[in-house]
Amino acid sequence: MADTPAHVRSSRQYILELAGAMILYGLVLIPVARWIDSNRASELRWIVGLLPLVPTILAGWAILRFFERMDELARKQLTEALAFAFTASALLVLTVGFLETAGLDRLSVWWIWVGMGSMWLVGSGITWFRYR
Amino acid sequence: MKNRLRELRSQRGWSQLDLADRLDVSRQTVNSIENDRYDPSLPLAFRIARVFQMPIEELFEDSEET
Repeated sequence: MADTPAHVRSSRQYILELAGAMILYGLVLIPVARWIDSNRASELRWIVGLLPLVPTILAGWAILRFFERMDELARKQLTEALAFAFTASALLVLTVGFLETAGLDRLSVWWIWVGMGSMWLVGSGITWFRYR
Repeated sequence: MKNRLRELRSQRGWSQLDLADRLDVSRQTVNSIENDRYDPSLPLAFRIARVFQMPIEELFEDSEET
């Protein structure tokens, strides 16, 4: 959908910054994992193991910069979508926790990330519909 | 809150995109305000009033007013 030149520029800048951070993440992740695999005894592994955090911090910075450039409605929509995602994810985590107590196999914590992302998408859909 | 944005914009022959550009907001924000789905903040309401060169109370109608 067409938007003002200023908003198109802002979105492009966000995509470029985020894509840059993600590419850097991809470039750092595999060498770090390999280095740790072959240097299990090294004390440096604690520092090297945290190196992928640098591009993720850059990605977070890109998101915050985009948030600052958003107009007031977009900011409200994002905030509402995140509030929904936070609440829904908490309910999902609690549900899985109770089911694990009842005997469900333990799931990897990475599923929390998947749950949060999915609920953010659902929340974004709801807020888009609300202010369409 | 009801408003006269759509009517005033049409009178001037502006598209939603034109108005959004003048207000430095997205087209969706103009659309949401026109559809009474979103009430603008006070600073944005003042910007709208400046763009249309009208007092705020002539642009927005308090739906709770009797």
